[in-house]
Amino acid sequence: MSEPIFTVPLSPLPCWEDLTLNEQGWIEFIRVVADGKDPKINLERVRALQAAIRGR
Amino acid sequence: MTNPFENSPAAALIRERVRDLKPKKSQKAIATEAGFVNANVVSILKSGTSKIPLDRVPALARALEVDPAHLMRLAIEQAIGATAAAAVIDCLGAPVTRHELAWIAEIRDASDSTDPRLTARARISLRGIFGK
Repeated sequence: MSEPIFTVPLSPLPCWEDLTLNEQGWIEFIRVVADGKDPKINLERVRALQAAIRGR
Repeated sequence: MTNPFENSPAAALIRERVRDLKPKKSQKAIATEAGFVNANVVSILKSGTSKIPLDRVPALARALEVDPAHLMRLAIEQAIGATAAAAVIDCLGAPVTRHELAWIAEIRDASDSTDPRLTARARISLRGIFGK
């Protein structure tokens, strides 16, 4: 794949129920806008996410 | 021969991964790695002629270098349909992929673990990320 790999530390794998309702909402929306694919996170996406969350 | 699963997300994912891996791994190598004796099985799964055997999902995911949870979710949908798959996942718990966990980690980091809601602004940003 052409996307750069962005590695983050992964603690013990939680299951869906371990996510908060808000987090479930984020992931469900990401699944929809990514057409059901399993998109990697990368630096560009992290920056966009930070801007969206921090309001910058 | 008809291809009843040609348009399924699972078949599309296999086509995409076989194509992406082509420079370093042949279709025959993928089939062998996934435990299929017949290399044509990968062609069959790509074309959507047959469903993915659920018991082969872990090995196939490794061979295709995709997250097993993601492939399993798509394979279950392909096997029993979206509605039934949703019921199964509801009972057994939905798998979360490594990439999704990475998204969650970034959301927690960016928000200082304040559990942010998915606001309209955030939806617009996510659509932008994926060109929607």
